[in-house]
Amino acid sequence: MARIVVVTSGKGGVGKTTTSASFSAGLAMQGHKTVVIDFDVGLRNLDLIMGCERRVVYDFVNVIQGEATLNQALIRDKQLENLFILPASQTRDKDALTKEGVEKVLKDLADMGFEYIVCDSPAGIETGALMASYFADDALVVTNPEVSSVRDSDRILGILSAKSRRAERGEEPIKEYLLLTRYSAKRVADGEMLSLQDIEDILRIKLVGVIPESESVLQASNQGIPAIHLRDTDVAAAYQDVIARYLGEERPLRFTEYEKPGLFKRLFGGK
Amino acid sequence: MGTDKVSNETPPRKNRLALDFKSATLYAIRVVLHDADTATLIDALRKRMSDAGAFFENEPVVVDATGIDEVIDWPTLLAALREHRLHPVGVIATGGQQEAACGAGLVAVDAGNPPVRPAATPAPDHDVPAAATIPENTGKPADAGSPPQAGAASDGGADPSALAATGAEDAPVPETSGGAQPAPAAMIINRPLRSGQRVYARDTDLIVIGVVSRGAEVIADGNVHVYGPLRGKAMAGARGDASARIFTTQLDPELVAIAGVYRVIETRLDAALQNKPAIIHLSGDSLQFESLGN
Repeated sequence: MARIVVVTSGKGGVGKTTTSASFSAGLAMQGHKTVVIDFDVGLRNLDLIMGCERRVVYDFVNVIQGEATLNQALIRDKQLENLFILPASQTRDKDALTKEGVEKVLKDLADMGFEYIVCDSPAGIETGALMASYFADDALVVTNPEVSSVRDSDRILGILSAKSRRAERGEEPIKEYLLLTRYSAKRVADGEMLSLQDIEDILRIKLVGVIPESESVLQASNQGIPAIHLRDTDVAAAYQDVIARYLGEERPLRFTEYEKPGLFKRLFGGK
Repeated sequence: MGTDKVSNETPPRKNRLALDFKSATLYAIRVVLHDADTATLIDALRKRMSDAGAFFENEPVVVDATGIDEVIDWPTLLAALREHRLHPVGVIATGGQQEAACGAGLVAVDAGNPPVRPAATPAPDHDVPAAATIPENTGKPADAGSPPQAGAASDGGADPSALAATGAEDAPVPETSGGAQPAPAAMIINRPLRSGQRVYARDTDLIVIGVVSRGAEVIADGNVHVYGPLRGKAMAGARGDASARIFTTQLDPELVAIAGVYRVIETRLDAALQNKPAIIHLSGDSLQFESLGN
């Protein structure tokens, strides 16, 4: 039975697509057959971040409307044989997404043997976002340590608990995980950014990880590689921790403490 | 006012019944006996009634003899009650005691469970009152109050009068209207309320166990209780009950309102109140914030 994970946030630009790419790659690296679906119809990005934008022939909407089969639309990742991408349509709009259509695609993917189906949600609380989260079993709520992101995450949590299939059927609710991204321990120490504890107090859901702010993310998307592949970067390490924790392992949090650099480091370089 | 158990159809006029049997809820005074001695009881009764003045007069009475082992002299007791203008209609007792009481004309009553208050369900969104104004005296009481209970303890003595038992009327429990429908039980929300969510408890109190986030709204016709941080908007007495209050264990709201009188909390509250347990009530036209202290 496939586990459906939605990566959502409410707020735009916080790192959903970056996370979807690295999270699904991380699961595949652990040996799980994984597919990641881009739900941002009309503004597709996932294919760029995954580096497969030149191999898109058919897309999610084509499959829903019966114009192509899943086998034709799914793109296999070049680096990981367990990983597949289902890109969004660039030319259609979100009205092409229907509950029945999405449900059928998810069911077909499960029948194909996928263990994890990662849904990359668009920003906002409209159709695209609602569709992406409707069938979810788990939700990664991506949040920046910044007031508007936190409020929007709070809003999306309310929507997840009210408007999902699980909520409508009175089943066990979606498991919610908080993922803090673009975290700068220094700015938190300076009092510029909300701290981890502040955010946990406001949102009150289980923290699955903290991804530090890093230039590596931009480098990764420029190269079309999920950030988790950039070994020796803190971002990659942080995403590996997230995968481990999601899969049940306990790992201490990293990249959340700011250590003031020593005198020499401050004099001769370093931030 | 009773619940109508007969069908709602009106039969044609000439076939309409001359009378109908329906059900009613009766609120009565429960006279609890603590002594079996008739003289003692009658004297205590006299004392109690003289203290109380006309307060209990003409009230229906149910005699609770569950605490007494010996069978008491029912006819005498009942006569005494009637002399004081109390109307005994029922008895709570078991075994021989109950038999004797019923022999004297009382109906066996089961004090049993209080009327089950229907569970409150959230009122639909379109029903949320926009801004109630302070009423001129409307507002039914927030809950159906428990019937006044006179514990007529027995003390002292008096001479028992051997009056005959009164006529046993076999009439069913009188259909004196026993008060309005019980108000729905307080609505309890046991989960965090997130930004954009809104709960409205109609005709009753709202209790939230959990956080009320910024952007969430908790509204009640009665009181609002938040066991957790109150960071959103809280509105009590939504349909005009100016006696409603807002209670919270951690005060940090965006806006509070009682019976339409509202205040936006723009700046931090006084240190004694900010993020501390507090009660807000309406005094005249202004909202008073009271710290619940340590």
